[in-house]
Amino acid sequence: MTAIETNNLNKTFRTRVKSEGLRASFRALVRPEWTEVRAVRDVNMRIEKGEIVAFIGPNGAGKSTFIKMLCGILHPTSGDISVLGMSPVRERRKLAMSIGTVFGQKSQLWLHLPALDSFTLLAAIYEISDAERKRRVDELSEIFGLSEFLKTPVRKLSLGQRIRCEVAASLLHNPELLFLDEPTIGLDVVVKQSIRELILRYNSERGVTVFLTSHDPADIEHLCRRAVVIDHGRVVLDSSVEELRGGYLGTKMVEVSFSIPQSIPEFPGVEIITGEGGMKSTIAVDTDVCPIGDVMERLSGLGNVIDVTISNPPMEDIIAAIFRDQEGAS
Amino acid sequence: MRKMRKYLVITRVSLSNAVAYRASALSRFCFYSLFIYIFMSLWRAIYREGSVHGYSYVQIVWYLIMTEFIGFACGTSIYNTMNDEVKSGSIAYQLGRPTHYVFYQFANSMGQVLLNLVSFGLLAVALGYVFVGPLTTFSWAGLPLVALSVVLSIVLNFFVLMLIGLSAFVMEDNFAMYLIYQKTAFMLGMFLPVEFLPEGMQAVAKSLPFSYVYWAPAKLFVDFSPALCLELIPRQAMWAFCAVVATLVSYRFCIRRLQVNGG
Repeated sequence: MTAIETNNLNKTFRTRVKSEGLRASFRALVRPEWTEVRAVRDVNMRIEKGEIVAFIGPNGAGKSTFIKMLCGILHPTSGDISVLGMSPVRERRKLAMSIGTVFGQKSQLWLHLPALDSFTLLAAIYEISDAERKRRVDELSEIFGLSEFLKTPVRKLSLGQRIRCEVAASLLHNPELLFLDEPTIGLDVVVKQSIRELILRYNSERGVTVFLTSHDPADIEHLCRRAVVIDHGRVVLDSSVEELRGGYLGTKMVEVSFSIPQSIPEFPGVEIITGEGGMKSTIAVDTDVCPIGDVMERLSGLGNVIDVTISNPPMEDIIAAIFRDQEGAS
Repeated sequence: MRKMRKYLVITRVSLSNAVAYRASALSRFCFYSLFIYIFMSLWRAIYREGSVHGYSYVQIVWYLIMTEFIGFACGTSIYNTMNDEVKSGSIAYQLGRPTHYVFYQFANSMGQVLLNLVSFGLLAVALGYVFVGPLTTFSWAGLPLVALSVVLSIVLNFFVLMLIGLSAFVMEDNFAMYLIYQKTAFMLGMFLPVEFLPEGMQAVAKSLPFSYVYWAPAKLFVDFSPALCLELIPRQAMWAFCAVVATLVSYRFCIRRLQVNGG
């Protein structure tokens, strides 16, 4: 069963442009200049029900525009969209009953009211009966661990608590398809992990299709089985996360601090990026060649280690590497 | 029925939310009282005795109290809300729900309006009694029709402001449109009764919707007569209806051209 299908989807925005300086400002007043920005270009995509798909790309790549077209919020300039068998443009309100959205940088909850009041409002909007609302709120409260702060005004919640409420709010009406636009942005590692586990649990138990955008490679690694990379509105890669992991996500960055200047001996799968022979070095580890445990063991063996930080390479670096490979291939 | 209920719940939750802003309400009470006091002093300086264009001093102060009551209590910030939603991109949540955006905003604004109607209503009556005493021309029998006129005024004002707010979907800056509406409504009824305008201007003012936001309900309040009701309320209803239709038609046009910031 297909959850999302797009054919030759395009979205063009008309944006005003102005050259630098005061004279140009006056000229623009009389004769404004416009340029067309193609935010989404000829995107053909098919996502099956139950999939968790990562939709990644640099800022301004067209990710949010694409999601908003799938939700019926923005109208495409050309092309066709079918979401759960409906046209988002013509059947926006009907489609809204079957989809849930989380825009990580925006809130759908009423800041001065407890999340419970927002749930009541959303239940009414989605035409859920009172008895069903109570059952759903209890269920989501248990899954997401909300009971402690359900009656606290949203403005007094921590970011992690708020995002848990946001995700729960988007699931209140039992959607078949969930759009998550950077749901873990600004969260600490522990909360990110708990949000990921909740999404995975919901996907496996309910078969909810998840369409996710994120700048955090760990979100993609832990959640998704398929990744679509977009840049300048065009899909540049559509592959399994397994393949992506082999090529790009398998690399971890290890930042290590020593008590005295220290050289790091060469070994397979490890590349010294910065600070060779200094007090602080950064190394890139290809975990397919050398497991991170082995690296830690070897570093500990050097004797002078005082601190170690392991992180994923930034999404921008991963995308840049994908582009380099794409250009190399063509 | 469930479809209707959702809009009632939106109003109920927005009313709960409005109650949370106590400091804001208090400062608006103070500003409203100060505004009435200053303009009452101005009118006192103008009125030595008798009446001007059919309004006695007491009537003109109650007229002022009524127009400012409509402005402070029944006015909404829908124009600012819509501009902010488009600029911040949070409109994505509103449009992604199974509600009609226009009616969602209306139901959402009515929570604040209902709260203000009661709280500012009590304050307005108290101020009037303290400043100039009872309004002798007030008709209890006409109260339901005055209330109807106030409701029509709220609807007309809301949908004109929403119409201006919708322009944020397609325009970079729509402040000029808001300013024109606000200042025109101020001159054609809010600050001065239409009868105070030059004769030629009066006819123009009465043929435009702006006077029916403030002048019509305030005039009915201070100088009620069945004949005046028959003249003003149908015109108010017609303009309110036109504003609703124009907003719905514009919404269909503007939504296709919406550009949401941040994607």
